[in-house]
Amino acid sequence: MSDYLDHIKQVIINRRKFIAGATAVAAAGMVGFLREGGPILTPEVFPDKWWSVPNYKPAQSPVAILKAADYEKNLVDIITHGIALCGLEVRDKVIMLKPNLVEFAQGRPINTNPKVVGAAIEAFLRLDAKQVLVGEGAGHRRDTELLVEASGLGDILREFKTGFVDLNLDDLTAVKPKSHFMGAPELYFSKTLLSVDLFVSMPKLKTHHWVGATLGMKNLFGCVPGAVYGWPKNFLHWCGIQESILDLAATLRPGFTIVDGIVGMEGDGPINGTARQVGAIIFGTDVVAVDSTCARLMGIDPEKVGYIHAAGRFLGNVDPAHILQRGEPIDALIQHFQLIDRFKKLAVKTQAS
Amino acid sequence: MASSVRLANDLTLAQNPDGGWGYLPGKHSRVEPTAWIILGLSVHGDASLKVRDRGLDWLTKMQQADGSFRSAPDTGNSLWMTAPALLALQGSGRTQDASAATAAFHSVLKQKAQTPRLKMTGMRSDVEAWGWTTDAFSWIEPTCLSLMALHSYPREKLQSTSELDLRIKEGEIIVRARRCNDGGWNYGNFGNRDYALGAFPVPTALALIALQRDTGDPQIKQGWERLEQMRKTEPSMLSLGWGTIAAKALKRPSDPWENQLLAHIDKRVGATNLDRGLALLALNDQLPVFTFAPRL
Repeated sequence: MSDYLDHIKQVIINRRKFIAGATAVAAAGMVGFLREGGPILTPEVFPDKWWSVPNYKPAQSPVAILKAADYEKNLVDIITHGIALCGLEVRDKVIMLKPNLVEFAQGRPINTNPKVVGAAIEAFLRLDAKQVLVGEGAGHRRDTELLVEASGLGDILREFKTGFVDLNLDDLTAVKPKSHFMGAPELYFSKTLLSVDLFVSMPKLKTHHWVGATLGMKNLFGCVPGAVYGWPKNFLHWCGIQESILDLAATLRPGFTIVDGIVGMEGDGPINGTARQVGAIIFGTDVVAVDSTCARLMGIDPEKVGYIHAAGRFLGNVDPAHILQRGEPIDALIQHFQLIDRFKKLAVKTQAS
Repeated sequence: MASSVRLANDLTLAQNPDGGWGYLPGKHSRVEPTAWIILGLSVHGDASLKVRDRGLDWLTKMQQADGSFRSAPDTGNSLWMTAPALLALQGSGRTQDASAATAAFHSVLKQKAQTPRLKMTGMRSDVEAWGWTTDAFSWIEPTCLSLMALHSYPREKLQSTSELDLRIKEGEIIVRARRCNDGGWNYGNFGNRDYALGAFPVPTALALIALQRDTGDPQIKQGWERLEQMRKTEPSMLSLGWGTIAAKALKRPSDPWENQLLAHIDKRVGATNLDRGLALLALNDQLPVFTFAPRL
């Protein structure tokens, strides 16, 4: 109980500092794009949030972009190739794949396509992984049975005899966050998730109406157990969406990311946007580098997405000079996703614009 | 009935040595599944009472000094579990748990969600109901569960019912204010920015149970019609379990719900303890804690 009260006090203190910080930013005329999602969380503006921040940035981060025209052809080969291009070793490892399974609406590309999940299961097993699990803690509906079946993931799990871990309901372990943007002294996570050898974030390439884009890092919201924090996981919004993304990414640090960019979502994502054919799957060992690359593929400047910019300070690489681009050249695949009005300023400047 | 016996047997086998149940067999005991299973076993029959009492013994040990319940001893948040625990204590009716129930009732009574920082049209940010956690916004499911829990407590035990009536009124305002355009309820957001969001079966069933005192209200009628549609399109153990309980609480035809639930139990692989406990509860004819006294 005292921990909890301490946490509440800390959150209140942080909110006060946040307001003070935001005021300072405004006063200094430094607000590039203040919005609901919050300002860019730079250490210069919010020094209180940057205490004891670790440095996980690798010198170089391999990111592979491979073409995949649809969900029917050669997905296992493509994913196997993507894993190899990034130099990931999976032999004898217990792996958990974490797709994005937020909500179900017929015909809308909200979730990671189950066929990509199935192909990843097969690819990892082909590469001699010891076991592959699928884990998700859906954010809106607590009826996991309904979501898994309606989305088509249930058929994939049965086909590959793959275990599903409901991250909302699993046994829990309390973890001290590796960074402190949220102000939470501890976070609870699935015990199974924390026990695997390799945790793979498998998001969908989508825009997001609060933070601009939802990719490998934002996908980690589904790791927060609903049985503790509820449906939706409103606690994370109260702590700050960007702050929560950073703490979750720093604490869980997925070892690999596979982004379903075959069909993405543009406009008013992550639920109500429209389909956008991109025809690519994106891979990488550094989730920040993958998210940055995906943002560029969507025609978004990752440095303007608050949480990606901040993650580039300590978690991974945003600067293309430190990203080892493999597979398809990115320039050939860049598209310009429709963005809602408040995020049009995130778009990469083009000659036309 | 055969399914009820099977569910009770499965749940007896799934009981942890400490007396509680996890969400899934073999997992650590947690308050929510234990609460619904206790209620299911309470109305199932005498043979289950010994198993139920071990569950109640575990449950009462989980109560905090302030009367609240949390997800499990290792989680510092999730106050929303106090409502299911209170319903279990009230539904089982063991005299030795009366003081625990009173403390839980007062905990639910004083729990208040935060008001949203962003103003959202029609969300009634002026009223605070119940959230999943105390440091967040009001949401449909914890608010409905808390309303049920407050209704389950005997009014005659209170010197004054004014605070109780006020909290019930606040909860009902929030539930009504968050109704979706299609007539049902989701987690508590009828629209996000410029578009309408649709209903889900479980929150719709919970909302109908919570608002059952106004059965003649057109909103309840529309909500029930929406729930009936979702029975056909979105069946699951949870949705059919809560839908069956809603049908009984609202005195609507429950046979179609029960029949579909029974068929679903037979084909469901990998059901959770939560699924089974709720189904066992739903298949009983008597559901006293889910049936409120008429509006005065």
